[in-house]
This record gives sequence, structure tokens and C-alpha cells, in this order.
Amino acid sequence: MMRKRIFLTLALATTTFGLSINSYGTVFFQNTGTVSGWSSPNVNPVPGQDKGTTTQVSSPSFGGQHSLKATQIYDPAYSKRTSYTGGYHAEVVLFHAESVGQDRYFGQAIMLPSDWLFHNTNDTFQQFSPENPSGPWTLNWVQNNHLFINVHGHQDLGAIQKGVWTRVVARFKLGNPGTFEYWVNGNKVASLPNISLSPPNGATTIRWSTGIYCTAWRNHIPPDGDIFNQLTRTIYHDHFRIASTYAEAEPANWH
Amino acid sequence: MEILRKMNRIRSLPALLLIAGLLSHILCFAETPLERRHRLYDMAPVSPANPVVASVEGTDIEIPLSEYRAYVASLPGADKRSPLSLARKRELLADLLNEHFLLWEGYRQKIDQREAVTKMLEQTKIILLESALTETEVGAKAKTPDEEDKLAKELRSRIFDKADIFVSNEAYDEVRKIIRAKNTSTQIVPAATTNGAGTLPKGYVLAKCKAGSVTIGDFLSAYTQAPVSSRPNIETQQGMVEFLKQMLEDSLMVAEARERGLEKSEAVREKMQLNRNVLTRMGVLDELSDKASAMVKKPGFEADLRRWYDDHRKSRYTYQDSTGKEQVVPFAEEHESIQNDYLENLMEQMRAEKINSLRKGQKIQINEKLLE
Repeated sequence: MMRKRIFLTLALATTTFGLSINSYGTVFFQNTGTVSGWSSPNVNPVPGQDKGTTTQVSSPSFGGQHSLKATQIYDPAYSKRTSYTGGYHAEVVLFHAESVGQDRYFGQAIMLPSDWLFHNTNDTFQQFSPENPSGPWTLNWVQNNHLFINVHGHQDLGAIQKGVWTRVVARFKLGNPGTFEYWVNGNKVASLPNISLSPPNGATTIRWSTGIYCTAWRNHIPPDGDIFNQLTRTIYHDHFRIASTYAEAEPANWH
Repeated sequence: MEILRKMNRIRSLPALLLIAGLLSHILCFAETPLERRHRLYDMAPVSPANPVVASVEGTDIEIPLSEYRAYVASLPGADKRSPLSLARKRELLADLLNEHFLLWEGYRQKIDQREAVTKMLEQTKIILLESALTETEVGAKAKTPDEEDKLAKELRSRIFDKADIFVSNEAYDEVRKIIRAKNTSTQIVPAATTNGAGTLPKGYVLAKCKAGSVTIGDFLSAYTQAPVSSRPNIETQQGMVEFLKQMLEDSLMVAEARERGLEKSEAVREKMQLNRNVLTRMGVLDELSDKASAMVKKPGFEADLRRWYDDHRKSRYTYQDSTGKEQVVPFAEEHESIQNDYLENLMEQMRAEKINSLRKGQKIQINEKLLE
């Protein structure tokens, strides 16, 4: 039903995005769960993948608080059209997120909705990719009820609960020697100091993509186990930061 | 008479014992109200089937079996682990108790009442309400993923269709005019205050319903950020309705969930409390990380840092280059990252000290039998 009427303007909250510098650490990027402020609101406007969306949750009437809602929907017609090779990304992207030689902390809070069905396959919520030449590199994903990341092999990062915000911080000191570390809800769950941690093929910078990427929907034809046990998948994201220290990147520790 | 009195005493003794037993059972397993359940991994109430493994006298720390089991399952590599020894189980329980001491401290400091926490929880509630409504309406009815998808979409459409959406004629004309002028495939940046001479400000409300309102600025921003292929033609009323539906569906779902009282449902309250607990515990850790960061400004920090680097030069800052030759990470060149390593280490130390101080003098009761 749509009725047209004339009425008075209401005051509304606006989105916030900015760069702040704290007394010690430096915040290079931050986003409070909005689609604006990213280099690309959705890196893959490929036909079919555009069923995936990255949107701000909550209308402005709920105040200045937002979350980024990343949703991907399985589309049989698209998969068939692409001979089951079409990808399923719905991500916002930040270009030039880090260069080789730098030490950066990437923080955010994520939430799987209460109706999320765990399955034994990779649903990526953030990835770090080389830019020139571009290509895949480090995926960070949910599989069953655990978080994983592929840095020098698959690292099990522990469990994630549905319907509860989980805070994650990934540290990449790019180069050789490099360092990779990962925190979940303030607990350090992975630490790989003194490793070679350079983007592949001589790339000197990486981009940060975050949202949802249902990797298993590519290259599979339903029915195929539990890969297709839920055809619409959503992950909520909030409090994104890239900072020079853990303290500044930690989503629960914003100043 | 004396005999009768004795008989009465004998008869009432078992009854008294029974009552006393029942009372103690009730007291032992009296359910803590959900909003006072301070857990981090599992919210199941204490019961005969879920007894307390560990508790701390004089605090609200009480860890039932379900919480302990959920914690163990949450650890990395939990699915590949062989059965745990009793000593390892004790260690894990001690680690979990540490987490609970931090949580207890967070509530003592009233971190749960801080604005940052309450605001985040309000936002979380919106998401939980939407999920709860979908679960109530779709969950059990759907037999297949396809069906679940279809029912979920139908639910959203139904809720949108029954809502009264009031659209301003002036604002609608304005939006059409701007989109026509700018060409929908290019970036549209609404002006800061007005969209041109004699036109409406971007804050002017285009559409309003019980769940909220959409301004001209909101609409243009959402429209231009949507992939071109999913932008309907808003020249037609149908196209306009279609896009407003995309924008308002979530809010309308939340409004509907509130109307149905789902805010008071066990599922929503439980998740809210779990989120509150997680945030409250994190608040304590945040203070520690602030403290560690503040050390940078203290006199002598640089000397301490250098000492730490020297102490860890062999174990942490020596690596093999591509020819297999040992190289040392130079202090000056890698100052930032060495400082980060040092601060992380300080934070871990402070955390251990904080936990020790919270544990000091506390009487911890552990039901060892439950660990076996």
C-alpha cells in the first residue's frame, strides 16, 4: 500500500566515517558499519553476483548506529549460466589497505544471525588480497562453528556463536620476516612471528575485502551435501578499523 | 499421651527431612533470572542435569557443566583433540574461571551500564528481533532450504504490504528530477543542504511509516549505492515502491517483532544477555590494553623496550634469509613492530596480574567428580 501525503520534515541522524589519531596508536581507517567510506561498496558487480548485497542495517529512525549487512543468495540460474564457475561475493573493499614493510591491525566485530545454519564449508567474512598483480591470498572464514584463516596453512581460531557479536583483530606485519597474529574476543588465538609474510607474485600492497563470500557455491551443483542447507546467508559487520596497534584496532576499545 | 507424642515425633521426622531435602534441592538449583546469568559460552540454567562445576564464594561466579563443555568445545582444534586428561581438564577449568573473574569484575565496575555497551546492545536487539520473527514464522514450517527462502521472502512482503507508507509528492518529484538529471548509472552526490535553487533539502522526508522514515538524502544514497542492475525504474510508482521496500523491510520486520512481543521472548533475552556478558568482560580487557598503551609515554619506556628487544633478539628477532643465513631484525628500522610486540607482551602480563589480584583470597569450590 502506498499513500502519498505531504508532511513535515523530521530530523535524522547521519552516518559517521572518519579518521582519528589517538595519543599513541594511529587509526588509518575506520567505519561504523556503513557502505560509504569504502573504496568500493561491492567489488563484484558481476551479473548474478549482484544478488549479493552489502547494506546498512536499520533505517535512520533507529539513530546513528549502523551495521553492515552482507547477504549472498544462491541463484541456480546464475550458477547454471556460468557453468557452475560463478563466484558469490558480497563485499565492501578498501584498496591499498597495507604495504609490504608495514605493521597493521585489522579489527572488526561480526555476527552470524541466530538462524545461521552451520555447515562444513567455507563462508568467508573477510579477505586480504594482493593488488598488483591481483588474486586470492588470505581468506578468513566460518566453517561449522569455528573460525579459520589460511596463513601458513589453515589456522583454527576457535568457535563462533550465533546471535552474538564476536570481535576479531588480525595483525599482518608484511615482509620477511613478517608476523601474523589473531585475537578473538580479546584472546590471542594465533601467533606466528618470524615468518615470511609477503603477498604473492611480488605484489607490494594488499586490499581488505569484507562482507560475505560463499566460496562453496562456486563449482558445486545442488544437491551437494550441506553446502546448500541455507540458500540465503547473511553476516553482520561493525566497527571496522585499520590501526597501528592492537589497542586501537580492537572493536570494543574505540576511543 | 507420652507414647502418642513420641509416635508423632517419629512420623514427622521423615516428613521434616523430606521437606528439608526438597528445600535444599530447590535452593541448590534455584534458577538465576536470565538477566543475572553471567555466562560466556552457554546460557542453560543450573539444574540437576546441569550441575555447578565451579563457583566462587561471595561472588556471582557459578560455572555449570554446560558452560565448561561449551568453553572446551570453543577452543581451537577442539574437534581433533583426543580425550583430555584430568590434569588438562583442571587447567581448562582454571582458564575458564579466569574469564569469569574478568566478567565479574566488569559487572562490579558497571561496564554493562556504559553508553557504548548499551548502544551496541540496542543495535544488536534490532538484528535479534528480525531473526526471531523469521524463526517464529518460517523456522519450523520450512522443510527444505528453497522453501525456507520462499517463506522468508513471503513474510517480508506480507509485512511490507500491510504497512502504511506515506510518501511526500514533493519529495518524490524531487528525487525523480535528480535521478533523471544525473543519470542513474553515475554517482549522485546530494548537496549538503539543498539540491538546487528552490528545491528541497536532503533531510526532507520522502517516505514515512511506523518503523521510521526515509529522507531524500537517504534514498539517493541507497539508490546510487545499489548495483545498477538492481535499481528499479522509480519513474513508475511500482518502481518506487519496490525500492522503498528494499529500504524499509528490515525496519518493518523489527517493528512487527516488537508488536508481537518478541523482545520478551526467551531466545531474544538469552542472546541479549550473552552479548551483554561478552561486552562487559571485554570492557575489563580494554582497560588493560589502555594501560599498556599508556606505558609508551612513561619515562624510561624506550630503555625498557630496548632491553626487551635485546632479551628476545635470539628467540624472536633472528631469522634465516633466503640463503639460509641468520639475520637480526634491526631495532631502529623495525621499531614500530618491535614496540607492538612489547606492548602485546605487557598487556598479557597485566592481564595475568589482574586475574591474580581478582583471585587473591577467593574461596573457589570445584566439583572434581564432574570433571572425571
